[in-house]
Amino acid sequence: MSTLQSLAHFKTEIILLIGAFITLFSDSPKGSRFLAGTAALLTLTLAGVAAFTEASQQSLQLFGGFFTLDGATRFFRFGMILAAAASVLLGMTRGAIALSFFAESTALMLFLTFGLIVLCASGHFLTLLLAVEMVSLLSYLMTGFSPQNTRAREAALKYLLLGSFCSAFMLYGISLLFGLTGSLDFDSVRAAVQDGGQRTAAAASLLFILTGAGFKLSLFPFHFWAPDVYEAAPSPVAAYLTVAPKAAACAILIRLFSEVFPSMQTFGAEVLQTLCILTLLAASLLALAQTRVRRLIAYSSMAQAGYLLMGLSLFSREGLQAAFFYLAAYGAANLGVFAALTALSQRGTQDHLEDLTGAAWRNPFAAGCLTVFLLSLAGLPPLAGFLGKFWIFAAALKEGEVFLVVTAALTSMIGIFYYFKILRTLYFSDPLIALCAAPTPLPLRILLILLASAVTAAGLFPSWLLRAAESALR
Amino acid sequence: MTLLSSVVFFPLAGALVLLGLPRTLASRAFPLAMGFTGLTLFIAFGILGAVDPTQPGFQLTEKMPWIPEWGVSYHLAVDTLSLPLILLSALLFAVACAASSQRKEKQKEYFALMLILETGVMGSFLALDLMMFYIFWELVLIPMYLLIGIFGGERKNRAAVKFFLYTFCGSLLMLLAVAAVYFLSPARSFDLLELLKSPLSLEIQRMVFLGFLAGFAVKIPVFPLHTWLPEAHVEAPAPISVLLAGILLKMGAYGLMRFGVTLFPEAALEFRPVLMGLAVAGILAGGFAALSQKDLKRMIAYSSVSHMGFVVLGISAGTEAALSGAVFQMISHGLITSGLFLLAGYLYERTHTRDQDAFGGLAAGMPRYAGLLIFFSMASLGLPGLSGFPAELLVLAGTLERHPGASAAAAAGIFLSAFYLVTMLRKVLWGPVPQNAPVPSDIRPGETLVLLPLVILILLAGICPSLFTGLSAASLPPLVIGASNG
Repeated sequence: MSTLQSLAHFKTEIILLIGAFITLFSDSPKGSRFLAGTAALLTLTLAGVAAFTEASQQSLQLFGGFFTLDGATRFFRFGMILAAAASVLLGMTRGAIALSFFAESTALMLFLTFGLIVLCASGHFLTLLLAVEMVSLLSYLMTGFSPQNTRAREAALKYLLLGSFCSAFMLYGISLLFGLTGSLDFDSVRAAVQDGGQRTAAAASLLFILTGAGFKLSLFPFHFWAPDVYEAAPSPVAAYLTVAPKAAACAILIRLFSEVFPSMQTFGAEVLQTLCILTLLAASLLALAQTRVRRLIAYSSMAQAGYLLMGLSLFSREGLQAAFFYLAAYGAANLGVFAALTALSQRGTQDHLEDLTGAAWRNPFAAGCLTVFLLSLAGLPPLAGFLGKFWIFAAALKEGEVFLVVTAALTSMIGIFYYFKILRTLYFSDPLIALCAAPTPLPLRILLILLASAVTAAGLFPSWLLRAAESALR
Repeated sequence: MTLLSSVVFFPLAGALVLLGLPRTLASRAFPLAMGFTGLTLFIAFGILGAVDPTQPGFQLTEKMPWIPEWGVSYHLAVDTLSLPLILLSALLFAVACAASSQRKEKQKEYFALMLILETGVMGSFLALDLMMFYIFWELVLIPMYLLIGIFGGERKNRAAVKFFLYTFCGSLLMLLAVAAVYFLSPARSFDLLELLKSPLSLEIQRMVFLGFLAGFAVKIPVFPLHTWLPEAHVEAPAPISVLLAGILLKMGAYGLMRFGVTLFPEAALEFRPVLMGLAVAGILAGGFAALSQKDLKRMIAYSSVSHMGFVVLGISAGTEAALSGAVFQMISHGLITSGLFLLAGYLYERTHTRDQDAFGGLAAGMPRYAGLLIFFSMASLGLPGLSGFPAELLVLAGTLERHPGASAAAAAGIFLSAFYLVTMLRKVLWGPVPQNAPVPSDIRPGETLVLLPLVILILLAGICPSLFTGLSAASLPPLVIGASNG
């Protein structure tokens, strides 16, 4: 499709870019978050409407095959926009992010959303690489956005170093592929890999590229940056980073295996399942030892990525559908966790678990929401996380992956330990200091209600989300 | 008909009302909760009126598609197996609620959690779709965990976590079994009735039955998975112990009958010796453990393990008499143990100790209390004329025919219960008064009133057992294990 024709299908992304610039310059001189926040939310709403009302439903190759607009792109694009909107709403809360950086960081978040959508949609290794670099650079920047906070700076540096390392691996993998096949276009690479005799070299390049995806998904052993980043980054940034890049990494994994390396799915499944088992075990055991809430959530989201990978690695219809469902459930719940923690946190505390002691009796609303999110992450009915996890387990059982299921069941039990550690702290004791009920600011209140009802509704009436996941597979 | 849906979701609506109550009105939580549990009991009576107990099979069915993509349906129905349990649950929730009238702090949350629990319990007893059953089954865990953890005694953290982990691990195995049933059965459905149409092969049955059994056995609890029970009971407030012992344990036994034995009859036959052995072991181990307890609540908890052993024995023996006895024992144990736990709770409220040795000669100062304690203890040890006697007799008689050994060993359990209960009575009510012994006041008329329905039902069931056995008889034949091949 020619560039001009392509642009007609590129409305959502264009709106995001323009909106990001407007947000960047709508920093209000009086020091309020309202202007920039509204600009960003408006942008995301418009982009969401554009994405939702897009007329054509078939698979399109935009810009000469650089951008694939298919069911998966549409599904992930919409999800990214929702996640970004939730993070912006979270950022509008006082205390979630420093006021002087709000407009800039919100604008960067919109750019990041753009980058992630392009990553999900890439149909060419060049797009893939550019998108990965864009996403990475923006993530490093946003992590270190509070100059006074040395922890954040340290986390950003760690992120930058490890990220560059993994990007280099990925780049090397891609260059290997180019050497093998003489092309970077997904379709031509697939054709060359399929009938070429260079299986070992192709497998090596696949492994190198997987390193990059593993880094974004914070899989073991590429996870070392995750706890620091999720702990030190401002809440809205951390919330967004635990959700959106992981979704994009899932999307690109599926795309690689279905469009470039369909001949290597058996090999890929073995690699992914090994990574999955290692990640699940490492994350669960490390999470047990945490005494800081955010760090605990970081390891928990690592474990959640393990469950996601379990669904993906089956390469079956049920597995993918379940993984998409689980991704949506995880995204809503994890954004919710960060929002609820922001509502519960007190000025001057260091995010220690014990700072939350008896918080349920200070702010029952936020604690109730946090309970819903944690229970969904732990996989308890009737919440969305339960159905997702159940369906992933069931799909794996159907493929006969008993060992995988047993490991995942075991780590779910360990998960109960650490999720309930937070619940116990919230409910089982009275607050240490007698404080009056802390009111939750309005944007945060709206966000919490929306996310909690989404998690509950997707658990009770999953049909709509299942249909969406189904359409992503088309 | 929406009678079943309303008995399930009415308490949940009540919980939402309570949670939405402004802080200033928190003191109204008790009357509101009493109203909700009372009305639920009323609806349960409505179900009793609408069901024809002579008819086998499911009645008042409510069915509609829920997650059509996965073959999950919203399917509630009652039969004469679940009917008595629905009535018992509705009654015990009202009793537990009434027994909590003195609660002063965090009332709103306490009663709301109790009502959520009621929804989970009712749903578990009425759901015929495996997925729905599992959801309700798990829904029970969270409020119970919070009730123990927030309102429990000194070691509540440990007790709550232990309760949750044990039951969750069992449930997880059950969940995997549910998934396996779905994919391995040609029916591709979660619906019990659909699944029954196409029986599974024995190999699959074996594997899946064990998964289900894990979930149910922890809950009943079957020896040696019972160790969470004493701790949870000791730490929970008395009304919560009532719900735990009176209802939650029955969910396991009910699940074993409704899903375990019904769906996997051949596997159940194969595992019968194991199950029976564990049941007898539970009866005896529970009895011996109760014998050596100083803590009053801990003793009652172990006696529960022993008495629930009779239920498992009845189910595994699988004759019609034994099954009838098992159902009877569920009801009877629910009534008796609730009474005992409430009585132990009343004493604890007054003296802040549960140590049997700390008391002595209470009969003199607390005649009403003494009378009630004797009544419930006698019912528990199986005095003829009270409900425990016909229940255990039916189980033993039903087992005796084919398994005389198991029956005899179980009978020894009854002697044990007589032993520890009478010893307890002697020590607490008439024994020598220890130094610094507390002198509690006798129970108030209000507290007696809470126990009154239990007393009446225990008497009624003891004097006229056919009233109760008749209620459940129609649905038992399908549960008979190995009917054809003896």
